Amino acid sequence: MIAKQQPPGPADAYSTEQDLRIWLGDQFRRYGDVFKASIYGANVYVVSAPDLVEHVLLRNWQNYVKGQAIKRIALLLGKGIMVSEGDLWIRQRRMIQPAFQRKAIGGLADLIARVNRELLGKWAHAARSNTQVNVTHDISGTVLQVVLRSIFGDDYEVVAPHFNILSAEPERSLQFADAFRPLADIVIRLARKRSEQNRPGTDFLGMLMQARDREGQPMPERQLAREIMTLVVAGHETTASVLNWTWYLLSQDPVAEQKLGQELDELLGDEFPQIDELPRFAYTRQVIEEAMRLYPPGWLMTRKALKDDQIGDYFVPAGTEIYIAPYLIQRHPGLWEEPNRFNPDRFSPELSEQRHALAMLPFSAGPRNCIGEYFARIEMQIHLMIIAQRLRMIYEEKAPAELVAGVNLLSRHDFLMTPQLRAQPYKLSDLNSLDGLRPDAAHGALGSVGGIRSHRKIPGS
Amino acid sequence: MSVRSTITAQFEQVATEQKRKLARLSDDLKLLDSGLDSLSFALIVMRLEESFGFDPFDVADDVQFPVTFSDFVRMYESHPK
Repeated sequence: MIAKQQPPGPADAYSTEQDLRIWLGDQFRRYGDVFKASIYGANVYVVSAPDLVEHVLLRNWQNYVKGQAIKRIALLLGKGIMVSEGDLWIRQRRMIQPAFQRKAIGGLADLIARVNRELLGKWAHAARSNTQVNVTHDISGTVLQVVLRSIFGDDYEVVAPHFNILSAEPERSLQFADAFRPLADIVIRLARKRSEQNRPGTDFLGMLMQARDREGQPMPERQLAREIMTLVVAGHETTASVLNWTWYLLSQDPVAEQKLGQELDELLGDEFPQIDELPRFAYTRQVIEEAMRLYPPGWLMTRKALKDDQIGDYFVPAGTEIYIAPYLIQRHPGLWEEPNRFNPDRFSPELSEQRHALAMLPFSAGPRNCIGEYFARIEMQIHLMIIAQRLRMIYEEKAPAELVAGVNLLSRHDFLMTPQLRAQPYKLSDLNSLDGLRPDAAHGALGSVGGIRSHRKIPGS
Repeated sequence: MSVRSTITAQFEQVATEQKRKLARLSDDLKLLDSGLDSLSFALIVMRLEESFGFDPFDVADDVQFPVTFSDFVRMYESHPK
């Protein structure tokens, strides 16, 4: 029997003058795991209990389409894999999935390491001259370079000047959308050129060009462009955001920073490990997991009920928007001890075993989870291993970091930090012998991406 | 209520809710100059979907994003019912 009871909730509608993240947190503390609210003119249930989230994202996922939040993304990216529904989504997911298999991603480890060594070179140079670096900006540029090189391969130099807008302009405004959308034509021209030359390539673009549906048909070129644009945006912002927060959190916690350094000293020699050895670096992974727990880039997911349903004790009328906020769930005091404290040890195997699988949702869950999860995890780990083995980052700003909860969870201000060479078994001269570590070479190599000036305000400016 | 007047009403309502200063909705008004932000447009598209029963951006074929207010209105007027 379907319940007719509706959950409790505030009488007043959410007002857009308020920060939605803070408002949702206030209501969550007042009404608990399921509450009803009027948000942006829609009837919304905000669900923060993992077993109920499991119902929406896994057990009864077919009753839910993507909700309000996706409209904003759709205006930017069109109907790619993140936005589409039904048969189109199934078809696209099947065609794209092979490109994200572990074997395919494993082949990108060298590329990820190479680009991050360039960043290490730049930051090591700053360490020697005791100068600050803009961590937010440099990471954004580095991650964008990894994404663009993974997608466009040898055509990177052709596309990079156009797509650098992603790093140069962090606001996802109408103006940004207006400038970004026409880049789909560049993707189409590139795909046509590769087709004419009969060289699709082995990068993501090439793999998607060669993908076929069950009828043996390739993606229409406009759909191909939409998927590539989606991969560029999704692959860039989320990973860059997590790494940005990771450095901030490490800069605030000398114990965790030291523990991370010790693991990297013991396990990571001069040779970078094979990709299947990465799981050995357990603490490195725990640091990243903890950063994603506290600052999930996709801090809010929305779904819309197609038919009447029941969530826990509550009746869900068709058309109800369901808000699932990883930001709330991952700081839920019933699920996490000292939820606001940075503590990578909470992700030890023993403690993780006791936790509901959906207490963590940084990549969503179920059939509509993030297709690029493995790629993102590998990229973040390689970045952290390469940089944290050599450097620690000093952040002198005393005020707590502020959040901006838009489409992604960003820091309001760029993080300016001073890199410091870590005291460890390697010699300073070793730094100069590594590829990309000469300061001049590093600046040159990063210039095309990292050299763009940020328009974001920095603390104190 | 015509398609145009429904759209105009939604622009005005969302602008009020979002506390945005809406420019005069002339045919040649560029949407970028309308005073609305991306969230406002997402809300307008959602509300119009409820009113008309369709979202013209929600189609498999390519959609050119409208530049002016009249382009925007035309997307709804020309959409097959």
